[in-house]
Amino acid sequence: MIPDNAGYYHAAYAAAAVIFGSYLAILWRRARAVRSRLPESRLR
Amino acid sequence: MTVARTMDTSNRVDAPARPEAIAAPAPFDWLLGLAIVALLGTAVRAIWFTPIEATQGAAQKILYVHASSAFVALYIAFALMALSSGVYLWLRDERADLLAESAAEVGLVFTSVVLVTGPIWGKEIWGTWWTWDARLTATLFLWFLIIVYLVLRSAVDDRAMRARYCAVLALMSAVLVPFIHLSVYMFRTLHPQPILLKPSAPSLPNEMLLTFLLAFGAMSLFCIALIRARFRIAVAQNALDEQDGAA
Repeated sequence: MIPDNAGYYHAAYAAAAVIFGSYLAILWRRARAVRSRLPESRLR
Repeated sequence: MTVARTMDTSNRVDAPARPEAIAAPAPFDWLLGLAIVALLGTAVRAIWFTPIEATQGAAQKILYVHASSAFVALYIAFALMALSSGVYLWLRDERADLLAESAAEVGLVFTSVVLVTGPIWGKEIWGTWWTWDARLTATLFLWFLIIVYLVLRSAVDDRAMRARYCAVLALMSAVLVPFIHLSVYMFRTLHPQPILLKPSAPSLPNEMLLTFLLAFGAMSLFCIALIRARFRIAVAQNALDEQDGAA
């Protein structure tokens, strides 16, 4: 009989999504901070 | 009569230097978008279209995120970190140092996923969250070393000195990568043997193997996209700091 343990993989996938999502948010904030420091004349 | 012009410019007032144009990180990164779509597609396939393994049950599906994150962290992110650090020590090119920093940070994120998803699988299959076996301990040690690397970067103000120290630490940390790979052969360990990166044929049925390979591909693309995005931010930040310092 196949064990009923789907909760473990749901937890693992959710944890991975939280870690990746948090890092994406950090990168997005950093990119926004860099863009705000750049005046239009210095953009390439 | 011609008068020779002198090149003496000691009394000349220089016009302020025009700041160099800086490539700003784009608000939307197409490669990152593509990688996220690939990851979501792979997750859909793993959750709904891949059969459940008979002995481990649905918990076996943790493998698709755990093993692919480990592969990407060790053989893409940390390998690139070590390669860039070596290039920095050789050529003293600041871009190599920034690439090493970006790869280390992204590698830390993937290793965190490995260290969180592994114990969730272990609790169900081994009956324990953690065991101090060679592979787990070495991976945790590498995770700490990368944190030390990133803390060191923010602790040293002199850029050349920081880059040199960090390059050496990165190269020393990367020595753990082959050790982690071989640890399951060298020591008696609870951790399963490799499924894919081994001399014999992969030990998975075709449907699961395809999901596994798709997960590897999507994670690799995601890792490369993250390193690229992080590197662009680092280059722009570095150029801004340089110009602000020179002003």
